[in-house]
Parts: sequence; C-alpha cells; structure tokens
Amino acid sequence: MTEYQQDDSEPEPSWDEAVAAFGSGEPVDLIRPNRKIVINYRYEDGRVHASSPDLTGFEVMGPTLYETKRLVRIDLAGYLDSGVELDEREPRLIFTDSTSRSRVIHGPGEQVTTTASGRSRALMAPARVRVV
Amino acid sequence: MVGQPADRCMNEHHTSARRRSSVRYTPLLCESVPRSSVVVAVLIIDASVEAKIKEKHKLTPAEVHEAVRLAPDAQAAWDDDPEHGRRLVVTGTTYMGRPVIAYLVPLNENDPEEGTFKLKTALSEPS
Repeated sequence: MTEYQQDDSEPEPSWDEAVAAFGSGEPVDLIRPNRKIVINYRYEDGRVHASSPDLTGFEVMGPTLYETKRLVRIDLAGYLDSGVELDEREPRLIFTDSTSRSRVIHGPGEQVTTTASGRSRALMAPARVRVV
Repeated sequence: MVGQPADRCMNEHHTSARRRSSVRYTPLLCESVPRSSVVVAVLIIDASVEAKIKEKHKLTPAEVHEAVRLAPDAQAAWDDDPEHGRRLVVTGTTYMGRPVIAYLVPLNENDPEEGTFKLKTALSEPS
C-alpha cells in the first residue's frame, strides 16, 4: 500500500501516453509571469560557491565573488528562460573568534592596559607609557 | 485567452537545453495558425502528488517547477479527456536535462488568465 492517495480514478499515464496526449492536444502559447529564482553565494575553503534552492543540481564555484557571479550567469544562460529574474544573495560578513577586538584602558599615571578578545592582540607601546 | 499566431512549426525534434537530448514530440502546427495562450503563474503541488511523483518517477517538486516554470523549451497543450476533464499538458526539461511531462489542472476554469494550476501528475522520460 503506497502512502499517497490517487485524487481520482484515472490511471497513471505512461511516458508514451503522455507524449501522445501532448501531441493530440490543442497547442497553446505558455505565458509564465513573475518568475524569480534565488542564488545563494557562500565562502568555503577559500572559494566562493553558488547554489540555488530552485534548481536541482546547480552548483558553481569560483575564486572570487565577482568571478563566481560571472560563471553563474554563463551557466544559467544555457538553461533559464530569458524572463526569469535572479535574486542573488551574497555572503554576509560575520565576525569570528579569530577577529581581534582591542580596547585601551587608561590607568593611573602613565599606565595603559590593552585587552583583546580574539586570538590576535594589539600591542600599544608609545615612548612614554608603560605597558602592563 | 489571447489569440496569437504560432511562431513556428512544432514537429521538430525536441532537444533538451543542457545535458540530455532528443525527445520527439509529434504535434504538427504550422505558421499562421492562430492559437490561444494560457497563463501559468502559480503551480500548486500537494503532498499526495509530491509523494506519488517521487515514488513512481523519482521527480521532485523542484524539478517539476524547473520544467514547467523556468525552462526555455517548455510547451503546452490542452488535453480534453471525456472522462477526466480538461487539463494542461506541459513539456519541458529540468536544469539537469531530464525531459518532463506534467499534467496540470486549472483551479480557476472560469478565468484561465488568472493562472493557478494544480499538478495532477508528472513523468520523466524513462532512461
């Protein structure tokens, strides 16, 4: 027993029957308004990858965002209908733990303390201050 | 419905745009024959049809949308079945080049220009 329900009593057509139904039907011009597909860009392993939830199997990558966008347009020109718009979503800049955020705290006298929240640290050592 | 002249004969070989080729469709429609148009703006695929096309034809809803809504080579014809009514038969190819035929049922028969259809079934060419 399959998990789906047939919505009517019509048997599923074979490929040849479907081709015959198309061939014997009344041809009409197909108008398809408001078409847009999403292209997502992301950085991965030093390269820029593009994929789309609207196109099964679509995956393009390039060395830079600019180059990847160019490759995407070349690839899609071979498939997409000319009326389809692209909604290109570029990667967002995200701060990670390795990004240093330094802060200078002025102490009493000439004492200056630097703090850093990341792995890299900023060192400030002007001539007349003592770094703690 | 807007009457428009057919722009070309349709008895040519249907060749997929990308990676696969050669499905031969047989309708013959030559230039200067006026024909109507149909708007397909929204395609609804419900869960039962989605399960059916996945199981029987290894097709996903995204692939059907590609073939019907995005492919440059998509073509359509009205099929009037005396038993099961009027449905739009659409041919097209997926991004990966699979030829697909989809049966669409209009949800707004009184206003075909509105363009909302429900997928009845979809098939891919047997390999």
